[in-house]
Amino acid sequence: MTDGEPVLRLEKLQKYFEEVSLKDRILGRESEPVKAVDEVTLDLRENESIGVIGESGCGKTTLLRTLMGLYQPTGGEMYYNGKPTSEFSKSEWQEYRRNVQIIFQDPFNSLDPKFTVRDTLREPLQVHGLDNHEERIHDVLNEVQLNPPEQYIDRFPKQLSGGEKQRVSIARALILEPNVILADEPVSMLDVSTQASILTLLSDLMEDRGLSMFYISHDLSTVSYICDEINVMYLGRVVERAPTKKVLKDPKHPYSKALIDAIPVPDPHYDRDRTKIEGAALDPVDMGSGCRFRDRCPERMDICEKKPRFVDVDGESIASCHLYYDHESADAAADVDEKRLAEAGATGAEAADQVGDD
Amino acid sequence: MSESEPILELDDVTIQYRTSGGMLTAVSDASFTIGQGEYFGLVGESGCGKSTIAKTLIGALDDNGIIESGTIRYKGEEIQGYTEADFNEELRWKEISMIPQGSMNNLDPIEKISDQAIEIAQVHTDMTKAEALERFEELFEVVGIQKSRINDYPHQFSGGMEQRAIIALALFLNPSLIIADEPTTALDVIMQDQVFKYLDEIREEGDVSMVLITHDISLVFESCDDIAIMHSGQVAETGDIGTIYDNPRHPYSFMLQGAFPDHRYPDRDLEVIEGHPPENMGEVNRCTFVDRCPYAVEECSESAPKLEQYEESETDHRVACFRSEDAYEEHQRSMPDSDTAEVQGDD
Repeated sequence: MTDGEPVLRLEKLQKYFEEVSLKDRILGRESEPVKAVDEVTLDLRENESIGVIGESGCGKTTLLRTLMGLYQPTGGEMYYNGKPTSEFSKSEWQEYRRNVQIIFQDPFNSLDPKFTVRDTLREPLQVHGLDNHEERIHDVLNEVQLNPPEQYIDRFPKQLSGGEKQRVSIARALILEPNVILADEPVSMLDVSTQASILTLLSDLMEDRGLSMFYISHDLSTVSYICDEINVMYLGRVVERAPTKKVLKDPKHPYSKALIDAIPVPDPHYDRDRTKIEGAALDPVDMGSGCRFRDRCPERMDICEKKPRFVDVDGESIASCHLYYDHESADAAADVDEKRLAEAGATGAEAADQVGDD
Repeated sequence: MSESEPILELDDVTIQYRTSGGMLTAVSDASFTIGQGEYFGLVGESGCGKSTIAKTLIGALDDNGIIESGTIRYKGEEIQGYTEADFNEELRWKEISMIPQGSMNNLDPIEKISDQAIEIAQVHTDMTKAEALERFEELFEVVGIQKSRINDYPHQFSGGMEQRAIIALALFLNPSLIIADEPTTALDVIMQDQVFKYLDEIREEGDVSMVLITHDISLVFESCDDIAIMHSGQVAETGDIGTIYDNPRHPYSFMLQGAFPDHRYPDRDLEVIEGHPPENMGEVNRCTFVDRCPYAVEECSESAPKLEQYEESETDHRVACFRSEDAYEEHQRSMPDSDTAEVQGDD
């Protein structure tokens, strides 16, 4: 907690989806919820960028939407600058939405085809009642390297290339001068030749503006250009957390290993073995409390039926796996998140009070 | 490349689309050869013409598309003039089959997969229903799905399994050539790897050739023998993967490789190729990479470079660039910490 209060903090955040089918209702059965996000604890500090990595269906998009305020969490709490979002008033939500901006995955569909670049960038300014529109629009276009702005400002999306469109959506996120950016796979739809320039732009912007970034992706080979820290997510839970390069070089959780080993390598002289993992991830419904990767895990043991603790493996990597702790010794097996929450409990509550007083 | 007769040869093929703005040239003077039993990767960015070539090979070019010039020979026979009926009778499924993009809507959602297989068999062969089902069951085992599941509906499969079921369909009538158009783009990495595991196994058998069309050069480097790199309708460079990796001589080809992230070297700077591919209207008489190429000279905009054997290479390695040698040297000089230095540093 020495680096100050995190900008965003998630404490055991849960988002369950409950779908009661007609059949269940007639038979009076309780339905099992889909545990899309199951007790995720995360801190995002100032000028830090953390990544959430996982395959489709792992809950990363649900997590992002919950962070945007599009979904109500069904459990746990989310703090912005120390204040729980569940206690936000309408004006606080408005302020939150100004300060926390999103860059979408698909620049081809996330821009209004009937809006010029100017219209796209003016809309958020109008919504949030800011003035000096032209000046702000010019400045932000310069910042995302759409130079000279005059050349781009009156264009429609169809007159822009994929990379240029993504620059416009980055400009749209920046124009309200946010302090947190939520990035939803911002380069996955782009050609490789433009991917690198967008990644460089994002990391430069973070540095210049002191932004914090929450970056979700399924692509582990590009995250290292943006993220300091990676959280590997599997079926709603974070299974490993470590500095990005550490995860890539020395993954600890069997799922992280499988994920990294499956990335194709652009080198014909490198002999990579094909994955040994069978099958596909199921929906996170009715899975019991044990490790969610157990059915596909090559290291499966009997104890995997129990929920693994999130333990410090080697001082750098934290993993939620029974392989990495001595189950007899309570000390070695301390759950990192639980411990942190206990420590942060007092200070977190105080900070919340202070913000409330302002 | 194998000495045997090539299965597919493209010779100076130009394909155009009629648009309201005139004739749009999607593929211009493209040439490459695929040997028997060979896996061939066709790589390039969106709009480079790779999917147009795929569609042309199975006679599924859009209505406004025409093969303007050039020849396409399949097993020695020219097919560029084939009609819809010719394609159906002679080629589709039993000679050339296709694995389309790995999206979830390639199978009919309201028909059992087995029924879809039977339909294909009845249209293209004399197989009986029982024979067809037996053959299809065998193939499900080849691609790692329980044979009892041939009677499932597509929605009962996960994305990776559905793509494997499509591979089973593609292999169904024993084709000699499979066109795989971004077969795993919609899949997660682990499933992608599962799919390629089966494509590797099919390759071991050695009877089928494949054209793997993808934007992901790593997949080609891992799974193919030869490669052609395309930029905006033109084949920039073609050869075996070892040569193209070790000695690329077209600026687009070495810059594209430099733009590819490799998770083994997370600190490596990625190369950026400025600009975007042009839209080529009418006849293309220049290098289509000229506007993006840092090594371009006047000559490059005056005529289209021919795809010619690179003399230093002992293998079949063809490059379409006026400045290949100079450009390569300049590029090497501009990269002080080359790959090799990093590999050593990493160890």
